[in-house]
Amino acid sequence: MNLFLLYVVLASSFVPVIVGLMRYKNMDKGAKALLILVAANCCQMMISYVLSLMKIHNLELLNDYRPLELVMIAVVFGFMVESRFIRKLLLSCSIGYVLIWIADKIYLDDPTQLNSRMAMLSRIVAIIMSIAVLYSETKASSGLFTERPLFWVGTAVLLYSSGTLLVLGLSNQLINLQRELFILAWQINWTLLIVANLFYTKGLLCKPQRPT
Amino acid sequence: MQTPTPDIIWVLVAGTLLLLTFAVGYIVVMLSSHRRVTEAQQAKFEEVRRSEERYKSLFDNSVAGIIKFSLEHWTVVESNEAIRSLFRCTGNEELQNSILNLPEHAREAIQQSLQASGFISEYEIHASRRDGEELWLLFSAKITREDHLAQAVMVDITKRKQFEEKIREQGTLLDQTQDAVVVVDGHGIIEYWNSGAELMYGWSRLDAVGRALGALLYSDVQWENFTAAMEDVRQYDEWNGEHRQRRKDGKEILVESRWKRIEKGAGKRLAILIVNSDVTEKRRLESQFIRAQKMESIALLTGGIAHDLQNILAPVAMSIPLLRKKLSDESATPILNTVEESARSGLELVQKILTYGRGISGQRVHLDVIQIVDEVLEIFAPGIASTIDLRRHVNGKPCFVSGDHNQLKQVLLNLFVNARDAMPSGGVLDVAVERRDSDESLIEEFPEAESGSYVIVSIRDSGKGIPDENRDRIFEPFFTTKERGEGTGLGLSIAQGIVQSHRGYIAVKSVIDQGTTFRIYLPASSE
Repeated sequence: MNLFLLYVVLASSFVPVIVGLMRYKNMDKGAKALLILVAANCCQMMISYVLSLMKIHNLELLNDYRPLELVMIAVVFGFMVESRFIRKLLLSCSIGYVLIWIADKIYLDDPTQLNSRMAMLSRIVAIIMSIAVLYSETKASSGLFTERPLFWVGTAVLLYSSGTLLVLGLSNQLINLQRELFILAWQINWTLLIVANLFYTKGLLCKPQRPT
Repeated sequence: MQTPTPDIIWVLVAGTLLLLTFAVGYIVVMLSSHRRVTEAQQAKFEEVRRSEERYKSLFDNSVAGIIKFSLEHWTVVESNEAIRSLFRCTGNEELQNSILNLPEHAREAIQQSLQASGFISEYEIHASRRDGEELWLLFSAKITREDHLAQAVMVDITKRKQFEEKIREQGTLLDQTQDAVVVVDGHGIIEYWNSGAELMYGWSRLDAVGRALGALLYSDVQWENFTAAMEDVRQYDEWNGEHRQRRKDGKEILVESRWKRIEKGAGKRLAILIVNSDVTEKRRLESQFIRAQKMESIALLTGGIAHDLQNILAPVAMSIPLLRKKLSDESATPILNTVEESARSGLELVQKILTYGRGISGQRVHLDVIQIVDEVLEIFAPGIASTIDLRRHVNGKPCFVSGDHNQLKQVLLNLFVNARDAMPSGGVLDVAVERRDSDESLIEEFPEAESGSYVIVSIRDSGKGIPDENRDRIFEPFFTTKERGEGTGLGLSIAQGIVQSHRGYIAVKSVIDQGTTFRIYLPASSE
């Protein structure tokens, strides 16, 4: 594994958290929810890394974190988007995913392997949600688009989810086929994660759109 | 370790790239779309900004003062430089004070109008600037829909008001003058008619404006004078002279008229300013004065001649009795009689002339005019033709005056004889005596007449009347229309002299073919 890239990923996950904490007083609800999301991502990364250092299996954490991450993304979008329809869509998607995830956990889950089914589904749901909010934002936007946090958060989710969809889905097959390919896949994942963290940071740096 | 199949690698790489491409593509498309929208919005925003700038420039650079204020408390929300300059304020606080210092009644009127209809238009306010100088404002305002504030425009009309005041003062001055000031257009249609004209002609401004001056004031006889004056003004820009004009009541007046060509309005159209002064009375008095001077001169001249004639005739008359004693020839008696008669007639004539020239004093006693009239009629009536119907009108009450019995008899006899002679073919001779207070007709005829009670003797004949050209001359001595030898022309002048010596007046009115009326006014004395 490329440790440098891993450290960059770990460092990049701190950047939005630090920026968010610095700007906490001036943040609206959406930004605060985003801060929680990036903080949770950061925690999950750090815990995973620590577990890997301790040679403890961290796949279960990765699997169980997915619904939480998706719900938090939905909450962030929900606070930032203005369309009621999109909010309902976000709620439906997140609830639907959680229910499917629970069912999968009960009947199909194998704790020794990465749950690529739910991983792919979570990415697909995230892609749907991000496209929906970005489309809604484009229609509703009256100011400069790039100055709105939702654009950066939605873009981050869309890019990250699109880029990692197949990586996560084929993760188990790749590890069985060839370890280098698996590492390559995870490096793609990390690269996109760095991009996502930077976009989250940019989202947090935007001016609040609603009263704090 | 299994050898990775190329399919899986390709699927992974291609799929991931494809998804990323889609994602990035989607984002790029959205950003591009957004950019277009943003550019459009930016353009719109820019247009709005420019528009705002334009309106702000209009607002700031407007010559009219613009202000936005709350209607309840007249709190100034927005104002431009012009309004601050209008009130000579440097800041908003001073402007606020100036606005609050607008007259209470004006603010109430504005408030009521704005509350009732939402707007007020061209309301004139007499206000004052911050330094106390008077200021006239033309105030228009409306309530804005957006914020329910009153948006007002104020224009300084102080100079206009001062100008209007000046015009009004000048108009008042024109109305104060006794002269008629009239303005007519190029076709003679009246455009302006002052109060003096109303008084002079009896036509009100409403009646006169819009009518033709010629038709209103000039009779057919005088029409040519009017058109000639119009033509002169057109050619030489002005005309001065006298015109005989007609009043509303039909009475003719003589006016001294000054016509001046003026150019009115932006189109410089022709108009004529006419200033007329009524000189009827002035001319009459002048005429009277000239006549009086003339008669005085004649009296002086004739008095001198008469005195010399008397000196010449007196020895002749005194010599005749002496000659009669000395001459025994009977045939000389008729010659002496003729000489004596001629000398006596000459002396009587001279006496009459002297009476006129020296003035008549006589003896003043308390006497009844009716009695004198009756005495004269007793002598006169038998001598008139039967075709003359003599009518006597007295109410029975005695009419006393202080005067000379014989002189008054002479006056009446003169007038009766003249009346009789005016009706050679017969007619009606009315004699009336009445006692009356001085009235307008007397004052009009004789402005110097004292007010009081007068005994009026009217002698009216229905004869041929006196022509206009003779009317002013009938009291002149030696003026007569009778045939040579029928009259001396001294009767009326002596009658006038006698009446005037009684502090009375003698007036004459005559209409051709209808007759003549002599009216003698004698101051009445108490019973």
